[in-house]
Amino acid sequence: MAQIKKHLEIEEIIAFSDGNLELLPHMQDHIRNCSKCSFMIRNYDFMRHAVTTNRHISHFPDQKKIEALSDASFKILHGDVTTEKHESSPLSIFIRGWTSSIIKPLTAATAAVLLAAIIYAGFLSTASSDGTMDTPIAASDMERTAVSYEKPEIKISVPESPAVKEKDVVLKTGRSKIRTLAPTYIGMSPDKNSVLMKDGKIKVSVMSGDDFRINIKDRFTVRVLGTSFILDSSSERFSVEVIRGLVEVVDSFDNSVTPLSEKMSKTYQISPEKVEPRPVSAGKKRKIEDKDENERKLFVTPDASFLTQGREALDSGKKGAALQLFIMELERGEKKETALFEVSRIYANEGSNSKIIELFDAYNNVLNSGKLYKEELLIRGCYAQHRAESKDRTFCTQYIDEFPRGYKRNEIMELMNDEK
Amino acid sequence: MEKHIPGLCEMEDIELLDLAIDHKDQKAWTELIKRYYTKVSATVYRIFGYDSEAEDIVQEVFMELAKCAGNFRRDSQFSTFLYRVSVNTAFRYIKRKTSKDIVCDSVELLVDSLALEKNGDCILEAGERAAMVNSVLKTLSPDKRMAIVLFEVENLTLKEISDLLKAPLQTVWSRIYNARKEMYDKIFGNMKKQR
Repeated sequence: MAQIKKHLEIEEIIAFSDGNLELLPHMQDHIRNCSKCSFMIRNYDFMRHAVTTNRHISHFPDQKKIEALSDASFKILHGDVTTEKHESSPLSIFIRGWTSSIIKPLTAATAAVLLAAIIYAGFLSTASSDGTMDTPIAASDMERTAVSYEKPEIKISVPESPAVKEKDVVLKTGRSKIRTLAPTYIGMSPDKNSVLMKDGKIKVSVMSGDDFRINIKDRFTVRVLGTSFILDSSSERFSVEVIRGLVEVVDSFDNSVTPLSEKMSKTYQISPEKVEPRPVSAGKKRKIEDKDENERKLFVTPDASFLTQGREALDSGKKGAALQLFIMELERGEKKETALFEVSRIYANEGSNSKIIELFDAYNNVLNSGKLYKEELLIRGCYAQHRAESKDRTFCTQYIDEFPRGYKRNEIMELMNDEK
Repeated sequence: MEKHIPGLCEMEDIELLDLAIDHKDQKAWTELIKRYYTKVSATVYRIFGYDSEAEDIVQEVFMELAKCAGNFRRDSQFSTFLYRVSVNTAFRYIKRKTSKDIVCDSVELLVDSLALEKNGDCILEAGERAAMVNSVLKTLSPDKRMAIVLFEVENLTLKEISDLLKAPLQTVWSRIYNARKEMYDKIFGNMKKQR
């Protein structure tokens, strides 16, 4: 095969590195044989890696500086409350002054006195992982604090035996923090390895790297791999909403593991049956088709992914099984977007426009985070809305917004204009 | 039963801030600074690079915080508010200090180092790498530099960067894109010439 001589442009390399460009077979061949292009890709990755990894410097605070900084900034904090206008040391002078030899001895002396007081209060200060210093406070400070501050929100440890905690209580366990957003039944497990929760709503903030688990009604275990999320548990359902980071929900019913990343949420039905049913309705028409399909044999590779098995089922003419397998891939697999594409294709072939709309609404997060098939999926969604005579044109407008140079843009614009 | 009286180190950030502002409690203010000094330094160093000037920016962040603490609306975490103050202060500082006359001597040095490392003749120390990356980043315009650092190093989303820098999403994306391209050209374009 004749090799294509066109070298990759830097724009293509950037897009490829971001995962926005899928290399066509001839491009892959070209890169394999072209030292210039492979060198450019390696260089770009190298540069990006250098930018990302080489600016993380751990820095430990200098007590003297903190005290001096506190003195100076505290005056600014109360600049218009206290009448200290006679003091002619503006911010810039202070900042320069810190490094200059005139102010330095004075500030250092002040800081040394304050530092001595802090060391006296607690020599064994512990540095928590988020970089804050937990210094034991002097008794006099505690008294003064109690008098001057009366807010009810106090951090306490998670109770050893589960109990109902009121709304807006902050509970501490290790480095992590749990805030109750509604009255919640919560406590530590007997082995002290996880937090037990029944009904209620909590917001959890966990330091990255902590092994932190929350057990919901002896069935679900939420393994925390990241930083912040909300759990809402009632007698019928249980939902997880991830604000930041990554969590895993383990369902002991079938040992399924569902990873949820930032801004994702999932609701489970708490019932003897399995998790909530997904909106893949099995209509009468499909049942009839399944009857015909059952006459053929289904060949699937046992250890293959749901997606591969689904495709194999489709090849065997088992559309119903294929649909189920694709849905499984959508739920638990890695290639969610591809699975969404396959399911929508089956529905499109059936002419089930309402099912396509229903599917895209249910897996909107997969659709929106998609890269490879997003354009096709939006087009399919747009046509489905048009054919189903739906008043909603979300997918059409999303397509126009996100793919201003999309190949179906004009057609969809016309479609929308005609309807107007 | 004896009532538990919380110490300063057990208090929430907002409680400390209230104490510092409403009750003029300097110890609460010091505790707050102590709590966040490391985080602010880390943010500033990541954005600005480890430099003697970075120390000044860290101090400026807390001065700025003192000025605008009264404007904190409590609709977000204090740490988020402080992060915004840190980024904005660093951005202002970069805008103020970045001159167009920055000579690219450091880039040439970087190219040499990269060439050595790529050939396996020498493995660069982490500090050297950091200095190297800073050198090239400093040659970018403040807008591009902030955008690429917030995106690549701080791992913020385009939307978050757009909110922080008060620039449209598309503009932020093109700044990141152009910054990457410019950095690539500066590093590897020079390398090619040298060959």
